[in-house]
Amino acid sequence: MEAQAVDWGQAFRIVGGGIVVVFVIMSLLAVSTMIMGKIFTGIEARKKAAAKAAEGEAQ
Amino acid sequence: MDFISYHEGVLKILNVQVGFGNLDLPHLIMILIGLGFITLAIVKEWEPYELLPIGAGMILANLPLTGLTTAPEPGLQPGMAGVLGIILKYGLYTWTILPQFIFFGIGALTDFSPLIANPRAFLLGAAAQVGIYSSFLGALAVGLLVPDWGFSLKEACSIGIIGGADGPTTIYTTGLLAPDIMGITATAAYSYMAMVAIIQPPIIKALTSKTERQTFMKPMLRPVSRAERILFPLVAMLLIILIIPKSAPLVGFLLLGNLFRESGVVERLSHTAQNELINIITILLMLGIGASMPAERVMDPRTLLVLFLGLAAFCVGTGAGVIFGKIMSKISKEPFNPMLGAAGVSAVPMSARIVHHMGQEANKKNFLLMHAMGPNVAGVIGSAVAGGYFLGLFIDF
Repeated sequence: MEAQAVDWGQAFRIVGGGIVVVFVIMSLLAVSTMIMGKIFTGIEARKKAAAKAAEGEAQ
Repeated sequence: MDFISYHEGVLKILNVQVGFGNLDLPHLIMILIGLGFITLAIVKEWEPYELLPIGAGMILANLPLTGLTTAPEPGLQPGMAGVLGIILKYGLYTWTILPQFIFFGIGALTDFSPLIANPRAFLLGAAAQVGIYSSFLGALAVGLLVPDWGFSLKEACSIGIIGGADGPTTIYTTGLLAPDIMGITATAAYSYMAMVAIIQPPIIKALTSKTERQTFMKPMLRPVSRAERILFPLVAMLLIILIIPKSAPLVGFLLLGNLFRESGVVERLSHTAQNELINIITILLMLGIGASMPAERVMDPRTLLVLFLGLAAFCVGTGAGVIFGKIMSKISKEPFNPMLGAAGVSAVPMSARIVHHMGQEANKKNFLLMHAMGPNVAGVIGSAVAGGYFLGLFIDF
C-alpha cells in the first residue's frame, strides 16, 4: 500500500462523473428496455387480436 | 556420515527446512484467520463456495517453506513455480482472466426477466452504487487524519468498489488498480455479501416507517417474451460498452453469458458456463484470492481501514438505494415499496431475499421477491459500470 497526497479537485470530479455516468447509463437502459417492452407487448397484443378475429371469421 | 555432520544435518532440517522452525506470529495469525473462514463456511454456511477456498488458500499461502506462492518469473528454474503463484500471476495479476469468466457464468445463471418487466429497477440499481463513491472519498480522507495511512486514488477506487457488493467486479478492478490490496478487498466483498442478513435490515428499518414497509405490491410482473430476453443482453452490451469501453471485460462477458442462456440454441455451452466452467473458475479464483494474502501483505493497520471503509460503502449503498426507493414511492402512480431500493446492491440473490422477508414480516400478503430481483440484477450491471468507469480513468489497454 502506498500513501500519496490527494488532489481533492480530481477526487470530486471522479465522484461527480461516476455518479452521472452510472445514472445516465442505467436511465438509457431503462428507457430502451421500456421501449422494447412496449414494442413487443404491442406485437403480442396485435397477434392475439388477429388470432381472435381469424377464429371469429372461421366460426 | 560422521556424528558432527549428521548432527549439523538434523539441525539444518530443524532450523531451515522444517515448517515449525519458520512459523512466525503474523503467519500463524493468518492461518488462524483462514481456519476461521473455513469454520464460518462449514458451520454457518456463509458463502461456502467462496469463503472455504479463500480460507484454504490463505492457510496454504501462509505455511512456511512450501513454495506454493512462488510466481513463475523469468529466470526461475523449470518446475520451481508454485501452483498458487501461477494462479495469481496468470489468473489475477497479469492476465486477470478469472473474474471475467466468473461473470460469464453469472450471466448464464441470471434471469433478467424481472428487470426487463420493470425497467424502473435500473434506477434503484444505479442509486445503490452511491456507496462506492462515498467510500472512495472516505478512503482519501483517511490521509487527512493520519497522513502515513493515506490511500492513493487507485487504492481508493478499489476500496470503494467493495460497496457494489460484487465479488468479481471488486477482484477485477482491484487486480488492475491496486493488486496489493486485492485479497483484502475481495474477502471484504464476499464477507459482507455473506452478512447481508445482518447488515441490511437495521439500515432498512432505520430509513423506512412501518407503513412504508407494509406497502403492498401486486405479486406478478408482466410476462417477458423470448425475443425481449434475447435482445436485452445485446442492446445493453452495445449501449454500455459504447459509453464505457473499459467495462467490456465485465459487462461484455456477463451479457455474453446471458445471451448463451436466453438464445436457447447453445444449450450445452450455456449448461457448461452455468456449471462446470463457473465451478472450476471459482476454485481457481478463490484459492488465488486466499493465496494473495500472505501475512507480510495483510499485517498492516490499513487493512482494518479497508475492511471498515468497505463496510461503510456497503451500508451507504443500501441506504442510498432505500432513499431513492422512497423518492420513487412518492412519485409512482402505483404502490411502490421503498425497501426495494436496498436490493440495488448486487448481492444476488441475498439482498432480494432480505427485502422479500422484511416485506412479509411487515405485511403477510406481500410477495416482493420478483420485484426485488429487478434492482438486484440491475445492481450487478451498475457495479460493473462503476468498475469500468474507474478503470477507464487509470488504465490504458
